[in-house]
Amino acid sequence: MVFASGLLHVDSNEDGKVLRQRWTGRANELKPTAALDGYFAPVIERARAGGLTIEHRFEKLEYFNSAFISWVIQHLRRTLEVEVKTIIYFEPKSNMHRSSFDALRLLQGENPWLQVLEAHSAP
Amino acid sequence: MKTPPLSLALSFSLQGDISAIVEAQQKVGRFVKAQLGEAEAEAMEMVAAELLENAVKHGQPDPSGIELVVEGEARFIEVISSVRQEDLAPIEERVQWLAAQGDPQKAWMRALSEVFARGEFGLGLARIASEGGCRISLRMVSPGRLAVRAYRAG
Repeated sequence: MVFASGLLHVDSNEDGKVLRQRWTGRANELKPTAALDGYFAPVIERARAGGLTIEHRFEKLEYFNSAFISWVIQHLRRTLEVEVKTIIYFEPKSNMHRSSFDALRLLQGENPWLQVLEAHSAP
Repeated sequence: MKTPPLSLALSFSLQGDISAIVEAQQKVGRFVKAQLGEAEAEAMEMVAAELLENAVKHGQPDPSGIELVVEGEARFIEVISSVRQEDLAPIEERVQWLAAQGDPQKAWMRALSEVFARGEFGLGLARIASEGGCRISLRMVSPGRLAVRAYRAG
């Protein structure tokens, strides 16, 4: 499955117990929620029903705006609600990635289903 | 003592669509990269984009469009645009909220927590302050037109 909107692409594939999402391009929609929620609702449901992990590979994402960061956090609320394990990988060499994704580690305290990892620690 | 005139090296108007914002972001990036290098350019590109997106989000159609100015030595970026009357007070409150937090990094973390707790909380200005390392000021330039300036701290 592929999501494409403007300059943003997400390639989704299932690999064993992992639903892997590879993000590329630029996430700069002013209101990204409807389109991304529409795409990810069945992904979350598939993960919930099958006891699968959703893995977001953000490390190749060139740019993202604050509306996208808001969407990521809201998406994490949804995966928490249905108790779906969600892993976020980001590029630690990018100041932009560190500033936003590394900061999401603070949510791990409230969300035991969330893991935030630097991309080089990916398998 | 006279205040020296500002050297405005990059100044243009645009309409508020995504392609115009991307183009403006690239112009700002090229300009700042030449002045200050790659790392600052990435940060100031983000600052320009967040300011422009806020201008679109809180603005209304205006033949004057949105004006963007980058000071000659990239000490600040300013975006001037029409603003809906009902949005003005929340913008002012958010700038005051940011100033009251003191540390921009803590403000950013708190803003992220607010999104998680409430489902909604505007992040743009907090991101400009933390990741962009900028302080933010507001001024009305004419009735209904607001200038939001992000100037590099330090």
